[in-house]
Amino acid sequence: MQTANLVIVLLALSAVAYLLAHNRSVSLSRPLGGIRHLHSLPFYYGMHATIWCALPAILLLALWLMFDDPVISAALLNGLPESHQPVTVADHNLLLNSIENIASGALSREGADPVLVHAADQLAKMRNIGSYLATAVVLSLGVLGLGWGWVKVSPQLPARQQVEKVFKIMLLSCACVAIFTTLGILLSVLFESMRFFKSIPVTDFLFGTEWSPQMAIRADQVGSSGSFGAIPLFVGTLLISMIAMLVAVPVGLMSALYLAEYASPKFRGLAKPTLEILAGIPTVVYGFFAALTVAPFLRQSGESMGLQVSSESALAAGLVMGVMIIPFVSSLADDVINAVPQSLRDGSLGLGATKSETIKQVIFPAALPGIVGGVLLAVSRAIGETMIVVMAAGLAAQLTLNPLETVTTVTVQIVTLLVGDQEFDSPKTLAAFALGLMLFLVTLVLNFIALRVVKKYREQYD
Amino acid sequence: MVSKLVTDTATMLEKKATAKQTGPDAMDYPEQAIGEPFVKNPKMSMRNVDVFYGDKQAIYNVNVDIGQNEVIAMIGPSGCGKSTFLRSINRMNDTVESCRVHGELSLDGEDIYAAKMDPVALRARVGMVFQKPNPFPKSIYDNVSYGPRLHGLASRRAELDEIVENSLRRAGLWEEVKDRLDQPGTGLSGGQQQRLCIARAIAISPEVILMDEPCSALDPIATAKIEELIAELSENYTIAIVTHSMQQAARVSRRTAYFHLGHLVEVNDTEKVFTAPEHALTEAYITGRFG
Ligand SMILES: Nc1ncnc2c1ncn2[C@@H]1O[C@H](COP(=O)(O)OP(=O)(O)OP(=O)(O)O)[C@@H](O)[C@H]1O
Ligand SMILES: [Mg+2]
Repeated sequence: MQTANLVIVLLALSAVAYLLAHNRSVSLSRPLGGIRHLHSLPFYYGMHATIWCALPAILLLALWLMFDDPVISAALLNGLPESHQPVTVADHNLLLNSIENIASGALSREGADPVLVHAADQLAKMRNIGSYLATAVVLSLGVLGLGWGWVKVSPQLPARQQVEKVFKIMLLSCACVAIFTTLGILLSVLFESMRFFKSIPVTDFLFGTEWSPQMAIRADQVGSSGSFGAIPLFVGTLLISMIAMLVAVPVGLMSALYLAEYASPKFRGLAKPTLEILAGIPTVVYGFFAALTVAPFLRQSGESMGLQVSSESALAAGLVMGVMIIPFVSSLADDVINAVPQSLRDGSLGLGATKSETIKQVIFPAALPGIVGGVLLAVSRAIGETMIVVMAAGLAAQLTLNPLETVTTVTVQIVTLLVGDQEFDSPKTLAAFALGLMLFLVTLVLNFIALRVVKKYREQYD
Repeated sequence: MVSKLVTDTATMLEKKATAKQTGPDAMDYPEQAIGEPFVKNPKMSMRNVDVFYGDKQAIYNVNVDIGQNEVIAMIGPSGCGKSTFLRSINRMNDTVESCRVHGELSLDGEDIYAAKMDPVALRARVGMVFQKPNPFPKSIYDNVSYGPRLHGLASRRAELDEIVENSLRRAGLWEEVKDRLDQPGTGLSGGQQQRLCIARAIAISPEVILMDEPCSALDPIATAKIEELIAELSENYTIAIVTHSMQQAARVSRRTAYFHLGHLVEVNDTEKVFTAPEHALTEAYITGRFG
């Protein structure tokens, strides 16, 4: 039976298990004088049986699916004569592939090695048997579980506690999935970065001031060695993020203050969703707005003032990115400001403070931890933003603090390094992982600082 | 006495039942608060005050005066509108979106709700201590110095220190906090927080102080201190205090006003209210039949 069908049958079976156990618990309770004489509610007896029916069977099915292929191929290879035994890993894969292809009919049987044809038949047969076996075993485990769950139903069974325990374990394993995935990503990035640092010294990467990741195709080619100094990239990232924050933080905070404290409910109801629409615009759209409108405008006005502005500039990208981030800051700050209790406002107003004094001296300090959190979230958004930079700030890695020149950022370089078909063994592509690792560390430090700041204010204010 | 009360209440309730068919409960409440709601030369006077929250009326046609340097107590069952009335006196109700206040309210003869009256200036003159303690998330020192700083009451740090110490002493909190003035006010116990709020309110020396159940979270010792403070303040200030403790009303106030479901039923000398109430509702309340 197909796996999907098998799962559906299992689900149906567990529904049956629920009903049977539920009804059995109800009928057992009747002579005792009602369900309050049972240890748990009938629902929990039903769930108890469902878990017994479904969980072991599904676990077994998962295991089967995991080890099905390796076991069959090992058996296949064992059955091959000495002359056909593969030597290298590549051989091994090739051999299995051709057997697979013959079995599926993608490769014609005529003219193929008769040994392989035989093996292909074997494969089909084993698959067939395996599938039947899996269906039989899994289903009988399900039925057994159902029976067990049904038999176990008794007024003394602590079904409620047992069901809770299973749920707790399930929640725990979900949490573990998240943690292990993160850990896995981190490890793989770390591992690839190590490979990169084998060919390029760490110090060159961290302190080098030139970034031009070209690798020579021939050893004697001009400019044969690339340089991988990450400083220009990080300076570029910093520059653009800073410009963006200079736009987003004041505008976002002030608009949040206006919305939360001064605006009439009608205006607020109109302005808040409008502001949030800004957050829904795809960044590519911001990108061409930056490249086609803002950058030329900056260039023209710069020229009229006698300034040299390149057609792609950090300023253009930063300004537009700032606009993009405004809704993050304002929406988060608005929530935090609204969460400041009315009694604090009353206390301040009752002492003869004006509205703006109240905001400055009471509401803003009380909301500060949340606001700091929101701003740092916006910073990580700015650091991670790629599209606007690609379109408006360019790709040239220059070490400059002049916002009128073209710069590039870490994320943009990661993208350009990995675009197209690449073997993951040249320093050029591996550099992307090193950059990723650095970015990860920077964000980690940023978050760490944010948490410390927030905690400090918490301790002071609660 | 008790049997008379029972029959009184019973007839009253009957009246109410019949009144329902004819018109809104005009029958139960006196047209005009009985007793002596008015004084000569009042500090504040309130005439025909109606307060609404949206469509719901919370205060019905209240007329009362508060005399110079007088302590007036406001009592009444929970939800009868004491806080609402108090908040109308210093326009704190402006902050409640749905709230509307009608009537003539004046402070020293000036109309409180006049267009040219600045509510901010008014609140500096008519201070308030709220029902729930609401210290700012700042240090104890900053909590008390908040008002004086706003209004520029101290030109030097030493003066400010003096105001803070003085206010905390009068609120009976100084001894407990003098070594930790730089710690957050929110870290104090509930009763200490309330005394901090009282200190904060008296630090700007308002002319009138409105206190909404200032002692509801305090132990008897702290309560006694606050009552002492009220007695002392009443030499120079005018005080309106809402309280659920009738003993407290009896101890601190000169006159007592009894509210019932948004109506001002009776205003009289405190002693008279507690020994010989004129209205049946007042009598029922102070003898412990409602509330
Ligand atoms: N912000 C508000 N919005 C709507 N209705 C309100 C509001 N505040 C108070 N009310 C209503 O007004 C009436 C009077 O409330 P108020 O708080 O003045 O009572 P109170 O006498 O102070 O009671 P307590 O002794 O419990 O403090 C109540 O019915 C209350 O539900
Ligand atoms: Mg109240």
